[in-house]
Amino acid sequence: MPETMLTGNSRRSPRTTLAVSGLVFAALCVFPLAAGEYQSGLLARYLVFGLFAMSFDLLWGYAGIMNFGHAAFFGLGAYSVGLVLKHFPFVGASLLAAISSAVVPLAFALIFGYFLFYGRVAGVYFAIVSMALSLMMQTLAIALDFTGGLNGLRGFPPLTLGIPGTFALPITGDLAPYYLTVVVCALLLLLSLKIVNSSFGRTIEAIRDNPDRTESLGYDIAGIQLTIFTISCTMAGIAGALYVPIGHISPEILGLLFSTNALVWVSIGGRGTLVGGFVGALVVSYLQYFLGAWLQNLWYIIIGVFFILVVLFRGGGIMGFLRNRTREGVGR
Amino acid sequence: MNILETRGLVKRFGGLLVTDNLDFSLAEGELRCLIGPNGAGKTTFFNLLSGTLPADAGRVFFAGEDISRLPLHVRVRRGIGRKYQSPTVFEELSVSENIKVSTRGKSAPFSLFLRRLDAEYDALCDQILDRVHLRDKRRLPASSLSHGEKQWLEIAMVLANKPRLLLLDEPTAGMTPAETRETAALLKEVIKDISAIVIEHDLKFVREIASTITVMHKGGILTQGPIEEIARNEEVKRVYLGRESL
Repeated sequence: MPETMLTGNSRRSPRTTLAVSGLVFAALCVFPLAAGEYQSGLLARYLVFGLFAMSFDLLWGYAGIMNFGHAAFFGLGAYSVGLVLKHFPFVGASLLAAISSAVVPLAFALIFGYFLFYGRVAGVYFAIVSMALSLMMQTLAIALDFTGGLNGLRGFPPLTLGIPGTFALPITGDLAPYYLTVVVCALLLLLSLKIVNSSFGRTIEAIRDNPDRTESLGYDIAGIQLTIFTISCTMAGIAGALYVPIGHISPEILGLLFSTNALVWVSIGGRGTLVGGFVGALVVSYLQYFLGAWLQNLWYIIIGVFFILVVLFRGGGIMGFLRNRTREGVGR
Repeated sequence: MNILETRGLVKRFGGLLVTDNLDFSLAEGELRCLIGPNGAGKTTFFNLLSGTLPADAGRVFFAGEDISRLPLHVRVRRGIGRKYQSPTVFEELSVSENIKVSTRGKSAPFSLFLRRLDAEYDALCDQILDRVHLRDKRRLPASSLSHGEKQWLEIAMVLANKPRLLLLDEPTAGMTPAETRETAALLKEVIKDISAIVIEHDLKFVREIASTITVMHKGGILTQGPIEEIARNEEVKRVYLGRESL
């Protein structure tokens, strides 16, 4: 048995993984040709949800930290982009918007996380405090004028990629946001895989499984938890920025319900697999899209039952199920 | 020089005084055994030394520096290694990964992203596993080891951090007599160049490894001295040894 198999999570034979990811990426690239613009816009939206879920999984699946305030960081990223575009209507504001969508959640996560992790707030208490953060941010966004209140943020110019003065590509319509989303998702997924497979990844899992033991080996566990928390929240912020061209910036994206969605997507897709976040978000969102029209009132009951079934019978979610299948398939 | 010294160490759990004005010192390179009846405060004393618990009063000096207010992980980085009573290895990691995780404890969070360093740690890892006779099992998950082997793996994990002072809480707990003998030989070998304090109930084991013994009782030190002297001490016999003789 190769050594890496023992540590579990997202490690299969590298060649299969490479082949599957190459195929998926190629399929995503040609998807608009086959399915058209509207469907591409829809898929872009679901991929953004997937990225958000993946960042949640990085924190919950690997580091064991349940962040019910995760949506607050998604919202921070989205609101930063919207506010910069609205209030700085000069050339190159998009660059500033893109940077702020990462820097604002990062700074916020550092400050918020610093007090929680060095203050030894852990487990259920962390979940509760982070829930309060989400509620606070949502209340603020509703109460303040410059965030647009309940209506959300509207009336800002589109995000524009490019170098001011030479070329410009406005991220509007369905196709440009779609390709931007696919590329950013792929890059952040690769980065996350790198992280969980490094010594750092081993260490966050060690802290999850046995914090006291890890600390007595000399690890600054608060510092390490703060690092993964900040990375994960920054990714959520970037997902929020990607959401701006295709969604609507409203207080809902800061709220508890949206964080809970991430929890459901990751559980259904497979906790501690990273890819599971995307799989869960896509499966659930498409189910909602196709069934939603008939079963509008029953939707939350269906998703609730689905969630319970997955947790009860398939702890590993869809990815865990697929993985077991392929292993049985090769006669392991 | 004393590697470790405590002055007037006090710890209370509610109204219960578990460490009572404790003055203790250990010379560099010394191996000391700590014995005493249950509830004498031995493990609490370890917790105060390692920083797991804050002391209510008193000071701890390590290698001449006051470490009383330092958090646990900083004390580990200064050189205090601790093996807990029940083995707490990472069950899901392989044996060698357990060691690898242990060798990187002093790294800053961001340096952990660099994989290049791993090669140098691989060599260190094999060397340590050799010392505890687990090299053949390095690829197995730690959960597949026997109880005794887990104890050895945990000793190896603590050694991987290159401590100057080793705190061992009942290293032979739950071991068979044969494993206990092997552990004694192993400990004598690995702690040659460092200082150590060992809490132990198995008196045969104590006799095998230590020359000086400290007897704790009701949160304080009852007496200390060479093993022969302790064995003759009437008060020690009364509070601790009872029918069993050293």
